[in-house]
Amino acid sequence: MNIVVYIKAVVDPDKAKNDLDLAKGTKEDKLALIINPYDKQAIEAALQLKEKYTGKVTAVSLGSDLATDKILRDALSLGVDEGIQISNDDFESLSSYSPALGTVLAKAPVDDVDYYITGREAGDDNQSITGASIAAALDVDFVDNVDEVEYNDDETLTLTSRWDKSELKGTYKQKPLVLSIKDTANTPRLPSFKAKMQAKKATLKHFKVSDLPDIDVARIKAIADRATTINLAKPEVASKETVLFNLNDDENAVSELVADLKKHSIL
Amino acid sequence: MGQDTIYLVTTTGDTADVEALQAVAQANFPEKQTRLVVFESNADKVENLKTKTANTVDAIDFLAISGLDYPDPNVLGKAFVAYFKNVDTPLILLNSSRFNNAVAARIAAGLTASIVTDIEQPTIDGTNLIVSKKGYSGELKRQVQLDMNGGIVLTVNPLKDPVKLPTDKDTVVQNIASEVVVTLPEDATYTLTTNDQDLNLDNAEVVVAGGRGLKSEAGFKELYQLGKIMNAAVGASRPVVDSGWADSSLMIGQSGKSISPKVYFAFGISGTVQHTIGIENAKCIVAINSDKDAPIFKLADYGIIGDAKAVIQQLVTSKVSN
Amino acid sequence: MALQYTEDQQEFINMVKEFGETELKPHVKDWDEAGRCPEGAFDKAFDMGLHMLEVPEEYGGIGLNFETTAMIFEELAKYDAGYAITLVSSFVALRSVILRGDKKLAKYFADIIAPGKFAAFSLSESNAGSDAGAVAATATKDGNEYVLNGEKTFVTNGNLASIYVAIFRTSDDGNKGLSAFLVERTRDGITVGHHEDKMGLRLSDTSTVNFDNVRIPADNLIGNEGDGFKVALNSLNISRAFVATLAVGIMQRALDESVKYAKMRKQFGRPIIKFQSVQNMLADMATDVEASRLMVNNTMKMMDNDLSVRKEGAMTKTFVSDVAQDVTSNAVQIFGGYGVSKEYPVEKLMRDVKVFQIFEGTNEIQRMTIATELNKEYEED
Repeated sequence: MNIVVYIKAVVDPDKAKNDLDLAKGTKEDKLALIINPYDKQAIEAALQLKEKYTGKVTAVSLGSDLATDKILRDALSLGVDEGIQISNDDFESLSSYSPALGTVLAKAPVDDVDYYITGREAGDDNQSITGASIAAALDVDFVDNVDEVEYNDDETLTLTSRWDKSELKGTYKQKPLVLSIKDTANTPRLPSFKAKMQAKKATLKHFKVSDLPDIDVARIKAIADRATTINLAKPEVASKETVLFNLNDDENAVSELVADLKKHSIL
Repeated sequence: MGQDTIYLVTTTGDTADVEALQAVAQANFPEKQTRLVVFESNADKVENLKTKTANTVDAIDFLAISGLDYPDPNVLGKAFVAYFKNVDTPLILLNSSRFNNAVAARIAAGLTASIVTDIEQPTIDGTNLIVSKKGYSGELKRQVQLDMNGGIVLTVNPLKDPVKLPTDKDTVVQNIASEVVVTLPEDATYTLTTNDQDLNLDNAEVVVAGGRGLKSEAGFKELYQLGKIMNAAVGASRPVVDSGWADSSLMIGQSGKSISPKVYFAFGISGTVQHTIGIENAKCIVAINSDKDAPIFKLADYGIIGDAKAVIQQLVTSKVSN
Repeated sequence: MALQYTEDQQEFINMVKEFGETELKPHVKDWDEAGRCPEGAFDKAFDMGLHMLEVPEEYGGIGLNFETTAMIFEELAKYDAGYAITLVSSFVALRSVILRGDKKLAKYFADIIAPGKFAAFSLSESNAGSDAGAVAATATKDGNEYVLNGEKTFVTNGNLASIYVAIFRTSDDGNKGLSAFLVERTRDGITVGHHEDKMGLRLSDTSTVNFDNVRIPADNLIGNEGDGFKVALNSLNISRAFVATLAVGIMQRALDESVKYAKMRKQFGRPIIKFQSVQNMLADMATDVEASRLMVNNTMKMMDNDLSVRKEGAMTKTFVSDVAQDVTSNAVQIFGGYGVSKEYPVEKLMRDVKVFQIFEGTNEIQRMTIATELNKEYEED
């Protein structure tokens, strides 16, 4: 079974909030780059599929060479078999706001793929569109927000998608299929030192966007340019007056709070 | 540009959802024609919606998909894509929710349209549309510029303040039979995990939620008793769900639900961004935490510094009612 | 901090940080209270290879040097030093066998622990603590076998280990009469007795192990008869350096918690970090942590270069474990009333750190060693 998992390098949120240059990408620090946290469940799902049915997991990442090198090696140290870098160095605005993203990702050269897997969303832009746009580019079905995976003996999967107010469970026989995995679907494994050491020496496959097969670079550029981030900043925080009670030195704190809430018709 | 009309797409005939979407359109694009595109398989809801929206939009298209009696996102996506195929550079709005975001992503991908989810404050600047959305789960705020010479799909957050909707429009109602082929898993089951009758996180006016500060599963479970007394729904932070003290359907925040109760009680929840993003639309936030520097207090209207378990006990004993 | 990490080292540290956050942080309080780790608590550490970091690749290990391994274990000790020492004790025991040069025996040992088993080193007896020469447990040659008799006390991993490196007396000749043996847990006659209910390092298992006519193949002798004291010294030299790195982890955690708290805690209308007395404490704590880390780092580098660390290891262990008492005690002081509360993290650090002045040779013995070495260095020809 061939499984492709798409992973994205994002700046560690703790570092991004304190250094806007990192968040904007105007500065790159290898050690601040991590696998998009939501993609860890995608990798785990891919590895579980492989372990269940035997097969090969290929991780694909689009981004700067530095970033994709870092996170693909991280993915290899989790047990992924192969990494493919797609360098977007000549595509400044290839963002997740553009359907061009899926068009490019879907071109990653992997043969006879059974499942394409993504995380539910990206931690840096909080979009959840990659799976859908890959599915559209490949013209295959897409199952999103997968929260439970049951493995059937005939190598089909019974998947439960969960959204805000509803869930959908069904057995999907068609292949290939694109899945986006929820962050509550599984517990990602930790990397082993042995795999980490091997990952350091591994050879990644490297493509530029323009190297990809059957790609209309001019058209993709035109589409991609239609969506650009023009500003990224700390949100202004509305300062709130909090009415505070302290139970440690006021034994009536609870009843005072309740009285106050009732007075203001909140309760 | 073909954007004299703004398309309001809804995957349910729920009138509250539709009104929220209309409000966003009215507040931000008052000069545009509004065309509602609805998928709703329940005939009663269709009739109800017709009555409720009469004269408030320029047109309603009810999309009928034969053989589809629940909103399968793949089929819906294909049906909406087919619907918009002949519209030149459409501007499409949906209410933001996890389900709608999934459908919106399919529509945008099918139409090669730009897409931004969970946006606020859309403004037109020449031939561009500029929208705001949260980045890094709310740590940062981002502005995205979208060229209106291409199609655009947005999912929009609800407005904080109500807007008066127009009442003088000649609403043209059409039923459109979609020709999309319905292919569904044979054994598919679609379930609404919340229903309007039972008290739940989506409809409760009062929500009592607990975090790791409740120390144990038993500590968390006391919330149910309090919920009963206060007529409140019970919610949980992610660590509580991860520890197995509560079902994941109770999770509030980035990985769970966004809720908008009248009052939200956070017991022993420290208030990480990933959690507070889910309670931004609560009218009143009451935080109870032993750590007076917990970030939740920055957001709270009321707070008690003290042991959350003790406060729950006192509330239960005094039988606070709503 | 003054140590400059390579990119690799920083990545390794981050790996352990993630491990600590997800696998240890949520459980440490419960396990500390229980006084032991539950079954399976080390499974993920084994999967990750934390017990084989320093073991050469030819023995199935990761092959990191001592310096890098120490950096990783300092990070792990920030989460729990008792958990960390359980892993350290395993590879130190293996290393003491590797150092004797019997590749076959070392490989046999490594193959046992590599898939996820523990090892233990045992020297101490109820009447032989600092005085190794007083070891009374005996190994008697009987054909192609040795027969082991006696009781070992305060064995770290005593109850967890699948294999022991144990020191027994093969002749009456004081230190020279000691020999080291590899003893598999499965041998008949081994019973694990009393589990120490300790004040600190409660995630680490410390037990008594009893050997009653335990027969082992003569091939399980490490090196030659009479090498036991050397094996013990080798093992102690390495473990002293490693326990020092764990103490640095504890101290760094104490400092981290203290600074965070001092910035947050307000008294008289301002954060207590603005008060000079608190500033002085924090400054001294940070300086002690820094000095300790550098001493550990230098000792590790010496070991990586096969230099003897008899003196430097003793100095490092003594200095670090002494200042660590002050650092953790000051952390409790800064936390005030909350410092002694089990709801807060610092009282545990103070409990955990005490034993570092005692085990792997008490600091009193270390000072004797340092002085002996000095005496030798200044000997006139």
